[in-house]
Order: sequence, then C-alpha cells, then structure tokens
Amino acid sequence: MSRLRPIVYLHLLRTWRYKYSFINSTFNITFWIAIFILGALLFVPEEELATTGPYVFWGVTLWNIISTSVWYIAGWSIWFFVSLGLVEDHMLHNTRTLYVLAGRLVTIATQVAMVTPFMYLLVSYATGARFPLAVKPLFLLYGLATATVMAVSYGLILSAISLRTGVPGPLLDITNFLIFIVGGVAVPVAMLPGPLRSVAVAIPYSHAAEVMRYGAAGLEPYLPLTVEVAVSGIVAAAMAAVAYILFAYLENKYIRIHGVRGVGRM
Amino acid sequence: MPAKVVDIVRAEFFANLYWMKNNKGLLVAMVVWPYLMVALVMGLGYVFGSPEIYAERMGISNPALFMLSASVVAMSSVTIIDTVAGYTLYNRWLGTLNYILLTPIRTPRLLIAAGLPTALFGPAITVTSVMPAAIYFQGVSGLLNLGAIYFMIILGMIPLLGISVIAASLLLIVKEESNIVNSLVPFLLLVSGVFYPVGVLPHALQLVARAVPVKYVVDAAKLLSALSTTSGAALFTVLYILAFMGVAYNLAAFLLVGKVDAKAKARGVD
Repeated sequence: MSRLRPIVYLHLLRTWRYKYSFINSTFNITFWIAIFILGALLFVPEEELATTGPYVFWGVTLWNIISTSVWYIAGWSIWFFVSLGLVEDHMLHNTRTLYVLAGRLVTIATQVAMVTPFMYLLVSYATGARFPLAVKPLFLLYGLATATVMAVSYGLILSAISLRTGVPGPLLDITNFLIFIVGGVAVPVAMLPGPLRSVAVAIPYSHAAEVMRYGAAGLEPYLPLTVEVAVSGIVAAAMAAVAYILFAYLENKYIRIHGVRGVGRM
Repeated sequence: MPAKVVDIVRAEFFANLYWMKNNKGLLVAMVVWPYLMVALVMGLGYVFGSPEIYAERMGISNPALFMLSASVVAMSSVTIIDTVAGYTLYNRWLGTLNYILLTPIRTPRLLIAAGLPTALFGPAITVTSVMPAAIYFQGVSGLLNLGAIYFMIILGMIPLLGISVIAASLLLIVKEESNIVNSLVPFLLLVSGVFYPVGVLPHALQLVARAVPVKYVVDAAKLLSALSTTSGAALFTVLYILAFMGVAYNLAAFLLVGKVDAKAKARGVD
C-alpha cells in the first residue's frame, strides 16, 4: 500500500498538471465516437432506434476502455516513459515499472468517467430514447471489471513488448477498430454474420461484452451465461498473469542485462 | 542566405517523403484508414439496419462509395491539421522550436509553408487508396468523380491551412506536452456531417457548420455523387464559398499568428 500511494498520487498530480490535454482528450474521444455513431444510426429504421440505444452505448463505452487503455498505458510508456529514460530511474529507486504503468488505470478511469456521460447523452439524443443503464447491475459491473482487467493487461503486455522492440502505433489503432467491429464489442455476437461469430468468440473482449449486455439490457449471451461469466473471469486473470510474468522477466532479467530500448517510438 | 518559403516547402516535402519511406506502418495505416472508417460505420449499420435506409436519408445512390469519398475528406482534414498544429509541438519536443522561430522567415509563412506538402501529400495518398473501390463501383466515371473530389479537397485545404495555423499558434503559448488542440479535428468533422446530414445535429452546431470549410467539401462530395445541371450550379457556389473562406481564414491566421509569435518571442520558448 505504501508503494501504491505515491504511484496513484503521481498519476493524479500529472493528470491535474496536464489538465488542458486531459480535457482535450475527453472531447477528442467524444467527438470521434459521435461521428461514427451518428453515421451508423442512420442505417437503423426509426422504430428500432430505441432498442438499439443500450447496445450502442455500452459498445462504445467498452471500446473507449479498450482504446484508452492501449494508448494511455502502451502509448504513454513508449512515447513518454521510455523516451525520457524513466524506466532505469524508477528501477534505481526500487519502484517497479509494472506498478507505475498499471497506475495509469487512475488516468484511464478518470477519462472514461468523463467521456461516458457524454456518450449517454449522445446516444440518447441520436436514438431519441432515454434507456435504463442496467437491468442487472451486478452482471454489468462484473462485465465492466473483467473487460477493464483485460484492457489494462493488454496495454501492459504491449508496454512490455515495447521495452524490447518497436510497436507500430498506427497498426494498434487498426487492431482496435477491428476488435470493435468483429470482436463482439460493438454488436451482440448473435447479431454478427455466421463466420464472424467464431472470430468474435475467439476474441477475449467479446465474453465480457456479452456479460455487460446481459446486465445492461437483459440480452441473453451467445454462449450460456455461466460459460460467458467463467470465460471472461478466467481470460481476464490469464491476461493479467501474462502481463505480470512478462514484466517480471523484463525487469529482473532482460533489462538488467540488455538495458531498455534507447528511443521509444510508436 | 536567408531561407525562403520555397526552401521550407522543399525541405518539408522531402521530410514527408522520407518519413513515409521509413515509416511503412504509417503509410499502410493511411491507405487502410478510409476502408476502416467505412467498415466501422457500415458494419454497425448493416448489423442494426440496412444501407437502403441510409441511402434514402442521405439522398445518395451508393452508400459505400459516398462513405469512402467522405472518409478521404475526413482523413485529409485530419492530416493537414495534425501536421501543421503538430509542427510546433514536434519541434518543441525536439528542442528546435526556438531556432525555427528565430529564422528570418515570418512565422505565419513558415507554418503555412511547412503544411503545404502535407496538404497535397495526405489527400493524394488517401485518394489513391480508394481508387480501386471507385473503379469497382463506377468504372471510369468513378475515377473522374474521385479526381473532382481531390480538387475540392485541395481547395478546402486552403482555408483549413489557415485554421491549422491559428491552432498551431495556440500551441506556441500553451505549454503542455501534448497537442491540446487535436480535438479540433474531430469537432470540425462532427459539425461538417461527414457521414450524416448536418440536419441531425443540434441547431447551434448547424450554425457553426456554416463557418467550417470541411462541410462544403463534404457537400461537394455529395453533389458529385449525383451529378446534374442543378448540382453543377451548386458546385460553383461551393467553390466560391471555399475561395472566400481561403482568403478570410489565412488573413486571420496572418494577423493572429504575428501577434502570438511576438508574444512567444518576448516571453521565450521552451
């Protein structure tokens, strides 16, 4: 706890110091999502807009968590943490890079908390319906929690890779988009065309998303609910374990022998 | 011999060329991006609704081709504003901003000259990337349409260059590490109705849209997808508006950046 407190303080302080950048990011994310959502909803028949609302809202919220985690952990560590040579500095002060980067969850959570109300207003405005946020709150929270653990772990895994090799940033954006479209994030897996359902089931986020949709709108998941709950929990734990093991190897062995990449680019 | 505008344009042209050459991932992303944008909107649209409804609401015949054209407009706008506004930020990171501001060339001219190659390069790459789709959907006439849209984009980039320079000047005085004006790009695209009619926006945003050049480029893309005598006349109106905006925004940029530049030099650049 005594080690976590300064890390949380660091990220809170940093967010406050770069408040204009932070507010700008909130608007940036909101506007981009609005552009796509307003376009996509023009395909929907008038009478079905209200029922589409919750799926779209929770889909973009989940995507926001995934995308923000990638850029705020992996992007930040590469552009900022590695480039400024802060990895070695923290190691010399007996502070694990893993904890510093995982502390970015503070910034991610703040950002998501700021964007989400805008998203709700936007989707309500575009669909012309005020929909309830949850019908089974516990399932919604469980889905959100497992999705967040997956997203943060994915960000950490990318960060770990970036300490050794280059990560092509533009391609990460493409991956994020693909996950949104075919990963069962934006739309329920059952509504995807046949072959894409198998692809979606193979993508970890789809299970958390299915549990979220069940909690938010009562939509029955593609696989049985118990399976979705179990898979999303197991996958989240496995991804967190992989991130931990990778960092343990990098910090205790690799970096001490080979050092960190001199220049972080993404 | 002091640097001229031509020297800056040439230097930035080669910087762009080698940046692309050495950053294949970025090039791939630029080529793939319009398709991804369309796939995202249409993918969602197909699952929840149908393209016929979209075509009817937008008054277009081919949603996929229109969306690709709109994505080209969107991508070009993103590239130009990001590059020009990011120019000051990037040079601040490198520690070269103070040297650049001290060169004999005036800062507004420098920023515009630095953005020119990107204003041509960016749209050219994205237009080229959607050529196969244009040929697939409409054959030679699709290519001609795309050529006309490229021309409109270039015309739309002139006022956008002025807006970008104003945004870049903000980055000279606000000392933060990231591009605090990068929400400007999606905002301009949002009010321009890239994938939807401006009429779906709240009234206040519809009013703002009238002052945004991208809106007129998108309008032109819509008109070009339904060429007729009436749309020909409307196209000329769009041309006049863009020409007027080009003069107005660049004049404003010259006046504003001159003052910001003087302030930044008096206070010091870090």
